[in-house]
Amino acid sequence: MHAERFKTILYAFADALELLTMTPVGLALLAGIIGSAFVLSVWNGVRERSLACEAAGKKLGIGEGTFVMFRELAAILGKIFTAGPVLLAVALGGVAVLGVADSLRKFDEIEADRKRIKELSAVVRNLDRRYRIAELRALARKDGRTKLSLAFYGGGSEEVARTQELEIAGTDIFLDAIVCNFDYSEIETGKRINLALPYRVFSDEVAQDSGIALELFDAKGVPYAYRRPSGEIYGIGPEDYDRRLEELSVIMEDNDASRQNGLVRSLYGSAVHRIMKPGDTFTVWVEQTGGLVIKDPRGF
Amino acid sequence: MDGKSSRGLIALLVVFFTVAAILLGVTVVASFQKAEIRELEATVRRLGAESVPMRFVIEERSPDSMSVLVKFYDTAGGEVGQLEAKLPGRELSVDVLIVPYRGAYVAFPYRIFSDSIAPKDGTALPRAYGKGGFPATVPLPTSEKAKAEITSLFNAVASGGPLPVEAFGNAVHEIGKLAAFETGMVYRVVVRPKGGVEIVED
Repeated sequence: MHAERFKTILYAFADALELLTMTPVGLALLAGIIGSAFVLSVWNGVRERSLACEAAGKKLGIGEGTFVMFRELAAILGKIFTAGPVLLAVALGGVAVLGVADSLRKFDEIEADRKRIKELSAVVRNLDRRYRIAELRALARKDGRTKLSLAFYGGGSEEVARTQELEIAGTDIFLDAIVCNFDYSEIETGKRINLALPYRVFSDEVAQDSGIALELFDAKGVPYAYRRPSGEIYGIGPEDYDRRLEELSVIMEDNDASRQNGLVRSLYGSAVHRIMKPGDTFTVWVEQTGGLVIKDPRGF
Repeated sequence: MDGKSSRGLIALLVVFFTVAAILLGVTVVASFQKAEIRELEATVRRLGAESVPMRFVIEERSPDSMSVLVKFYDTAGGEVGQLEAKLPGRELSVDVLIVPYRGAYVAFPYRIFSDSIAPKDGTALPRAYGKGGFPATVPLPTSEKAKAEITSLFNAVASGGPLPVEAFGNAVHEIGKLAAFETGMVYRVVVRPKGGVEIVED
């Protein structure tokens, strides 16, 4: 509290000094004051001499008046020169006060910027995140059919929640998922993460309708991909898991309300796909900037 | 000047230079911070950027088919092509190929299909926005080399030729009652800088 009061007084003093010495108006004001002092001093000297002449019954001549004026000027300059160290000390003191005030202001600015950097770093970190959703591996191909192994991850976990094997006609394999992208404000602040729930596999030769449904829910009706892991892993605690599940079920039940509340930016199906030959693997991620992608885990 | 005054002046000079050094230091630190903030703000803007290569509207729907109008746009938002199609089925899918290129991603609207037809039987889109072999939805590069490279990628997309191994497709679509496209409502296909594709009501 005292420090704040001290800063207020110091800033006020520094502002006044700055005004006087660093702004055209202030400099004009200062020049006016100094000039007036000069004029007054010279005028006073000349007037005194004039009065003395009057008392002696004579008139002050132009030449003598000019001499007196220059003598007064020289006297003032002499005084300034004599008071040089004091004036220098005053000037240095003034500059030091300005410097201290500016330094304190910069410290305040540094503290505010430090907070801003922390906030922006968190925003970038939250937006730059991606979560692994599934991994597909082509095991074999025979008679135009591709045998696949699928592993599902959920809720930001790096642990496989479930695996499944299936076989489908075609080579361009589509992994279909429900994707929910939250509003950027929700993602930036880390309140929510974009969600993706894989539910079907189809291919270039097999229509979505005829695709293979994934074993989506466990016996309790919880999506496998979002089944709560045991204990806390990778910073995702049970409460966060429950919250995400709750969010997903609320959005799926009342999509319109979620959109109207500005909570959800987009909710749609997204089937990422790639041509696969035996031995090929691809990993599907949900980007926090929005949407699903296929990327090599080392490719970031 | 006596010894006392000299000492006072020297002390004042020490204070002066100390303050000057501190001010200089904090100014440098604040300047670095400002640069870091500018960089972070640019990153946030880049991450939140979007491009809209196409919009579509379902003009008519019957229980087993739909009529779709698709329009394509350049990066300035100007219309560069359109296509109308009638598809069997109830749920529309818009397939976009995402091709990595020079550290970023180029999106090529590829085809539209529905839930009841295999993707390979869908309606191809590239011819509707190709202008002289170049995809009009992609900003025209200044270098001839880049232009030739994108043209080559576009030709591969249009003809089903080989693409870079990291390329992938993303068929974004409606989902029954959960997220159905309303008839007459315009939707935009949004491509994110990290390769994600979204469908957003226009």
